[in-house]
Amino acid sequence: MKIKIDLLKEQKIKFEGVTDFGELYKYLKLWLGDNGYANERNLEQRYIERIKGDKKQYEIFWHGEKKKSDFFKYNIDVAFLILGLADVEVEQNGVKRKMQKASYEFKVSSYLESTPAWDNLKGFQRIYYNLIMRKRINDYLGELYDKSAKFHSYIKELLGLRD
Amino acid sequence: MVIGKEIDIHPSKGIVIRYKGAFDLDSLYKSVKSWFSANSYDYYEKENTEKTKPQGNSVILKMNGVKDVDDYVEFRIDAIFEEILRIKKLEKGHHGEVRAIIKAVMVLDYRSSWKSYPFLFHLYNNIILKRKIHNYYWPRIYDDMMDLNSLIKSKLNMVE
Repeated sequence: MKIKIDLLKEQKIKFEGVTDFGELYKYLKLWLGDNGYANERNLEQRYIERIKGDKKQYEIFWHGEKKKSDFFKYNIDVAFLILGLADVEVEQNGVKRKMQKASYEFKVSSYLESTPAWDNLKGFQRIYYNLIMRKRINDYLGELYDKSAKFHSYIKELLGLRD
Repeated sequence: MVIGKEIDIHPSKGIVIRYKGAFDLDSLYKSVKSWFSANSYDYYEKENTEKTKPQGNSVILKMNGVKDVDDYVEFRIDAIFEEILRIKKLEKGHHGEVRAIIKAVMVLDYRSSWKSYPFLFHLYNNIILKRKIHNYYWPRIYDDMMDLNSLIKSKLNMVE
């Protein structure tokens, strides 16, 4: 039987203000890459850009996953919704920079999921692995919780929010 | 009182705290977050919103913690800062308007092991476990809720 255990459930981070969207996008992707969750083929599952007058709107969905063992994998999903994005010029330390003013919203989810190898176990094999894995699942959940909470904090840090 | 799956420990609308004045928002946030881990709750942040506004930023924080007390009982506590409005940075701390709600819920059979046996579940909670719920679990979560309440009020410079 397939196992799916949710940890973070669409934890929302919202910021209305000015930030460097290109940099934010790049750093978040790098974080997932550096931590082994980004697979270029399937990370970005949706990228929609809409132009509304002189403003832009983005809907982006990333699915990050990392194989933990033959039987389990970690998943971190993040959905971006960026509304009313417009370029603004900001002076930082005497240097003018082009940044983006918008309403930025992120929803972060994480969950532990079994792989097909687990789902296809039968009979005594299933009973045997069930006994062994029960304890290990708790360790996996602890590790994934820490990792996804760090990613959540990283988004807040990039936006300059409290953490 | 019949004991069901979830028992609200808070008053019907939660413990509501309203405050207008000076306080340190960063310290408040950090203290509440640390309180959950210090009291063995897994910390979750359902929402963290900040809006930049000319009259002062506004913030929404929905913080919650979950503690598995044992295999059968789980405590859930929410600290919801529904609105922190007109936040102005002061030399030390901030000035703003806060409306916070604290809620605490005790969840029985949080692993849903008794899901298929509702009648036995009812008997177990209302006869066998009843005394333990009232004398052991209930005071613990109530103390946790009131402790968090005191912490938030102290961080808002309110009388405890």
